[in-house]
Amino acid sequence: MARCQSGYVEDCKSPYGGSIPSRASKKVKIMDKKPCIVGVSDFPLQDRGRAPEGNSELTIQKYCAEEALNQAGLKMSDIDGIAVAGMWGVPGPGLMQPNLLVEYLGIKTPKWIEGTNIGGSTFLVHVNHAFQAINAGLCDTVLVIYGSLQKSNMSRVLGDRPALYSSQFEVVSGLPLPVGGYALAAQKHMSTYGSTRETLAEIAVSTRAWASMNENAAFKEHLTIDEALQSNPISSPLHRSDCCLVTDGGGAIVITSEEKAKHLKTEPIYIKGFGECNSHSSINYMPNMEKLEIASHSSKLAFKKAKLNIEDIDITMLYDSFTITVLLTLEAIGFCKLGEGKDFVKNQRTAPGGDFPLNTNGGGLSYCHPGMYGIFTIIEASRQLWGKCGKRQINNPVNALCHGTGGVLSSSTTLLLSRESS
Amino acid sequence: MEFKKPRPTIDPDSKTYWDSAKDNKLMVQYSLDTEEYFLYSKQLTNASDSKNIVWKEVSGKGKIYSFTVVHVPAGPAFKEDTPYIVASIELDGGARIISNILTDNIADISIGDKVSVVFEKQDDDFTIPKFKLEK
Repeated sequence: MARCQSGYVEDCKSPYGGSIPSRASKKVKIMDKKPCIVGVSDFPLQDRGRAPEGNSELTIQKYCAEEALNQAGLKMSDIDGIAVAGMWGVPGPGLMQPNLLVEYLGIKTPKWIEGTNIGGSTFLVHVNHAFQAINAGLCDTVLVIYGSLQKSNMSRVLGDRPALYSSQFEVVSGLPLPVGGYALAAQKHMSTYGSTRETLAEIAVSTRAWASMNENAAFKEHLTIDEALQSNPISSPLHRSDCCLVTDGGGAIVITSEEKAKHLKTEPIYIKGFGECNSHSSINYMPNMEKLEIASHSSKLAFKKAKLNIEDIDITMLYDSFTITVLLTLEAIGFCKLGEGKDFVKNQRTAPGGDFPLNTNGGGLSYCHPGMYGIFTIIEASRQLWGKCGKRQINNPVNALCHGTGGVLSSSTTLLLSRESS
Repeated sequence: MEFKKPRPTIDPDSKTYWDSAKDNKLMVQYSLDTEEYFLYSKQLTNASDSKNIVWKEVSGKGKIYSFTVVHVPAGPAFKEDTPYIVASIELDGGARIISNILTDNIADISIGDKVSVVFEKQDDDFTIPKFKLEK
């Protein structure tokens, strides 16, 4: 149902001409429901990113859901919308995760269901869509949820993907996926703009420094630029230190309307803007591998919706599947010009104490990466806005930018969060 | 020797490419409306609305759009080849395809290098178009 820009029902034009008659003769102002994040959680890991024995993808998600609901002061029975996606349980019930999670968690008669899967940016899309559902009055309280045991199950491999559809050519050629796809983009970026392996090492090192202050991070040991440069080559120009971890993990986010949020335990975090875009499935069809144009599109939409400028952002969480992902995203969103990322990240600018706090949880590079990391950008941004990040807390942030990248630089989602309602 | 690497799941959009390779020909798709070459996806063209698509043989010459030297292989079947090169190649005419670059000197390769097709027969049913650097 389209709602009028003006917010007045009787101003709506019918597609067949004339006005749609409103039920009330007088003008009725529709309440503009403002969706807010009211609870988050991530799953505690041990032993370099492993879930304790005795867990399943379902127990991980149940734990996260209950923690996030507890934080807000809500119960499972308050949930009337659910968004979930993952890469486990296929072939089988994992193909239809919303059905499985509604069943397992015992959510009665949900009014809104979301199961989009576009890779790592998925959960930012889920929050975008949850915003629209709550804003339109389709449901009141949404649980966005994710869980994975990919490390324990050793289900992550670089090969053995089926040579299907547009990917058949790269699979036949032995491109390790996804790293080889990102490697092609990194090589193109270096050739076009003169970025180097040192540029990428700056990102790996600064992210590790943030991870050292996150108790739940898999890798907290100090990392130097030299160590990063000397790490083993995987798919040139990407080396081990340029690649995200393989861990278990999970997370949950609870979103509700401002009216409801006022009675809850947490300060509401407003979803101010969002945008999404995608372009390809196989890396070969990325229009220009040296620039992440879909991130330019999604972030532009988000800033427009939020009525915010890039200068208003206090803290930034970018999906770091690989170091090159961060470099491409910084440039595409406009934190610096195309090709200037190499100067932007120099001298540990994005590390603790630097003037651009980035991926303060330690990112997918050093904190955790259970396969689809996007949800953790939102969890960390929320905790930073609440001031709950302990040693790694940024001084009084108001606006946060989260950005997800899925597939092989295939999909982009930008989300702008704020402590201020307008 | 038995071919143990992955074979393509041939579909209507790739059949002519793989079939023609068996005859040592490189064929890609072509839009008669926008006069653009492509393989499989129209994403890199303006031919989204084009219905007049044909297959055309091309010279097999082109240049490297980007590449990676693979050290950790895509599965055990590729292990003995490491390090090997996978490249995105822009063929003369504009189609972009992914394949391997065959060279004895993997350090001596750059984006923009000119390449030409060589047909590597795997068995009677399967030939892969690969590329070598032009002298």
